[in-house]
Amino acid sequence: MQTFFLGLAGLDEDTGLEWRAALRGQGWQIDFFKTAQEILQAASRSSGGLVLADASCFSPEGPDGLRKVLCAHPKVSVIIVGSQDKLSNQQIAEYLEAGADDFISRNIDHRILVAKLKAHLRRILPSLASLLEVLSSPKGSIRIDGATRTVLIKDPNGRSTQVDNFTPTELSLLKFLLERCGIAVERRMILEHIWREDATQVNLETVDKHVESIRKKLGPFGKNIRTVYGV
Amino acid sequence: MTRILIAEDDVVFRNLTIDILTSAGYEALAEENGLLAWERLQEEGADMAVLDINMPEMDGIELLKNIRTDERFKDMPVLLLTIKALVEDQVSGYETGADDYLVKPFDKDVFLARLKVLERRILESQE
Repeated sequence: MQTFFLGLAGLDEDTGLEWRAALRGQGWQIDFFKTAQEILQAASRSSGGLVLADASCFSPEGPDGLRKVLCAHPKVSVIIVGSQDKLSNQQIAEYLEAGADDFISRNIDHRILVAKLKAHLRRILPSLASLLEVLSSPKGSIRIDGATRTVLIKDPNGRSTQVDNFTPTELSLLKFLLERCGIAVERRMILEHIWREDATQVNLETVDKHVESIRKKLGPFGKNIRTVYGV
Repeated sequence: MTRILIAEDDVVFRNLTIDILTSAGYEALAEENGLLAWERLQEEGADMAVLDINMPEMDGIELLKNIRTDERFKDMPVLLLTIKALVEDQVSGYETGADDYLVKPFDKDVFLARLKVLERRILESQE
């Protein structure tokens, strides 16, 4: 049984294909639906889902139609797609109040579309979002795949390097540091965040050892993790 | 009553936002720059934040980074309000941890509806 689905519903063919290509580029599998009924059928087979649905899917009832879908399947998150020359601000507000989690324009830039969806997944499904996470650093991008414990580094020139065999602790630590890029963090803070209730039983030097291991595994990119003193 | 931190350096826009929020039943905690907003958040806390990006002392992105890296506030919903409509700015805002992004000028009803969406998320996270 599929546990979570990502879908596009009711979009015209060109938009649907463009968006599917953009989202597949992130490693996401996308389903297509034509109607609200098809969304309901997918929802009944799943534990939850996220659908980008054209407002026409809920015609003629509009926001009430959306409300019915969400009442039947509260684990489904719906983002309404439309154009602002066809939907008034009042109608957009009505869809949001009926339970839509966002409204986006049909001509949204693909980069914003991906960024918005990731932000949304961070909220509704943090475990899934962390598996698919791409973290950016000023000198390129790092994709951390929590499932395979792989780090894919892409430099600003587009060249990619894959680094395998990070331990779960090293991945957590790397992610922690990337989320605080440019900020000095004390070893004690790292200890408390990564080791949590076990922090009192772990030496501070353990943090140094893990950081050193991460640096070695990152190769030339390892020097981007700097140790600063006296801050 | 949901308490919303507002960080906005434009006094006219700040007062307009305060009026919109208080009329809608929210408690508005407003500051004129990111640094004052950060200090107030640490002193008084808040349930959500509405941040302008271009502000003196500490801009909205820096303030957002502080929020997202502080255990006390890292899950707080944040909406960015700005005149910056460039794709790169919006992507950067989301990647830094914003939950939503509205380009000024915006419709009052849509703004309030988006805040309600963020409020729903607070309720869902508490379930």
